[in-house]
Amino acid sequence: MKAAVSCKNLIKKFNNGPNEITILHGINLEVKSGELLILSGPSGCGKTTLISIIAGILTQTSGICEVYGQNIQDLSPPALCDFRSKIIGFVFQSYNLLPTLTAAENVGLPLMIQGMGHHDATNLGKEMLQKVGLENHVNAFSSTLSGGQQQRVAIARALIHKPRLIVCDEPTSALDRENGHLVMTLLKDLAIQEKCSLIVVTHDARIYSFADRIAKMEDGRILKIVSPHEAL
Amino acid sequence: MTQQPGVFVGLMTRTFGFIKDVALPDIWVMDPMVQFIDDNKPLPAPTLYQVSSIEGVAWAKPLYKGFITARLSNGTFQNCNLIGIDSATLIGAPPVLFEGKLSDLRQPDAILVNQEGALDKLAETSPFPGGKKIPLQIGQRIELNDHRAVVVGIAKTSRTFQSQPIIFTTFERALEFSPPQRQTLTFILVKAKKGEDLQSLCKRIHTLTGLAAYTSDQFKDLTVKYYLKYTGIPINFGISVFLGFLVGAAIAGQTFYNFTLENLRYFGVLKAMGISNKALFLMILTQALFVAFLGYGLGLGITCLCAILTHESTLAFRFPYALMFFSLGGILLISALSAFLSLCQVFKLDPVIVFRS
Repeated sequence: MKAAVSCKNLIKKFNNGPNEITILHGINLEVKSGELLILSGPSGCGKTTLISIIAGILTQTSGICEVYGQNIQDLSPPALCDFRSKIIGFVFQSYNLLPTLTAAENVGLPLMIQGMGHHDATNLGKEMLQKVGLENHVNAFSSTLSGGQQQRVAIARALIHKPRLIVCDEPTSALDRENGHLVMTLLKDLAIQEKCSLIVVTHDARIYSFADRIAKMEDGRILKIVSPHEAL
Repeated sequence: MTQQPGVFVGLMTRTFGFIKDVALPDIWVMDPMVQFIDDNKPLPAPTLYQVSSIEGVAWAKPLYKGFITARLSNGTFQNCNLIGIDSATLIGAPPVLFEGKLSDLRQPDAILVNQEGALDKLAETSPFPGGKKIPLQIGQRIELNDHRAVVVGIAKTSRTFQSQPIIFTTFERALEFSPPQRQTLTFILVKAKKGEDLQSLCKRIHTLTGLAAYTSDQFKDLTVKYYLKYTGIPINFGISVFLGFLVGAAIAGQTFYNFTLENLRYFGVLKAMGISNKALFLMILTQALFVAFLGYGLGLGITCLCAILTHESTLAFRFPYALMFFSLGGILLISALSAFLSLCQVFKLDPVIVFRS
């Protein structure tokens, strides 16, 4: 499989007053096209920093990060925005649905950002909600939906613009086992349908079985990459 | 933001209430040292004829304006404004009478009293403790500087700054009522001939008589400027107006800015999803304008309602178009400032915030 993401000697440092803290210590990682990779590890090990760099919302201190052959650091800020809006889909731990928009409008948001009209984007959002089993909640506001339903809306939002890479930050941590399983099944099935690659950051060992590979991180380093069978 | 300036404008408008009521003459002629409407510096009587004879003057009529003490039925005294108008033409009389006829002013000892005075300061006290005052009515007598005066009408007048009762009578009778003075002619009311340029006529009157001649608007300006310059109103009240405006501005600005801060996470989500800065700019600008016009509309509605409800009350409140545009400018300025601060926050927002739970 062709590499969707390629990180070479990725280093990220933050300034904390006079001190410099190194979060990522030379990460080397490759995610294949169509692959579901889970990043796991203890809190503060640099998982979120790594996916932030891969998603183009944080810049590395040094090293190279390429997404589908595009070196993210070479992109100007407007080009980076354009890149994110077309290539990347996001699923967040706390869903981050806009509370003043309906489920269909939330799902249609990435299309609106790309310039599609509200009416067309919302209609496509409704179609996408059917795929995640929420056809009866298209006009519901996020406050009236359960956690599992909100995460399904977020998955629909992440997929609607047919991104090539989806980054998920703890997508099941706020859900019970049943809903977590449902969300991951949906995410994987739909992503495979759309030929997306997935990077999922999680602590939740219950979802390891959905992964193609699992990268174990600690102290800003990838210790090993294992199969789900080995991880469990 | 509109209420306090409205009260300030209302208060200033009251300073020239009497000039506004005497609408018929084009020009007011007076001693050059007069600084405002209540500044009485009487002229010698012959100046009336001198002014009448100036080219371009259609007519010139005398007006007495002074203060007099009224003795009320309960023995108390009340300072009043005494207006003496031309007895032949009755020019200078109030344009609207609630009760009585203007021509009755030619009856012996006749006076007109303004409604506010009749209802309150010149009204009789109730015979019952705590009872309502009994308004002054037509036919009742009051004592003005030891002279008998008979009420023949109740007049509608604009409220004045000093809020004293206003008593109208003929010019000659006003002189009888008033304490003796060497000069008695407070103002000369002049009507210009048709087509006459008022500014030129004012200059001509001044050149030929040495007196000050102002159009009604100029005299209003002179009066307002006096109050602004020589009373503490602009400083004392102006500070309150400024603070009112500032507090209103701070609340409006802070509300909008807080709205952005509260939704910073969602702006982060949009940024992570790749929204452009131009789209964010337009979004915040639209929100700011929407909030500005919504807030302005609501505020304007409440202010207008307040203006309507207090129209006939003692509260000095006036809301001219200029103030409407002034407050609109103010709210737009504040909204623009809040939008700018919000934009700064949003532009510098790191979209990584979305990964923080």
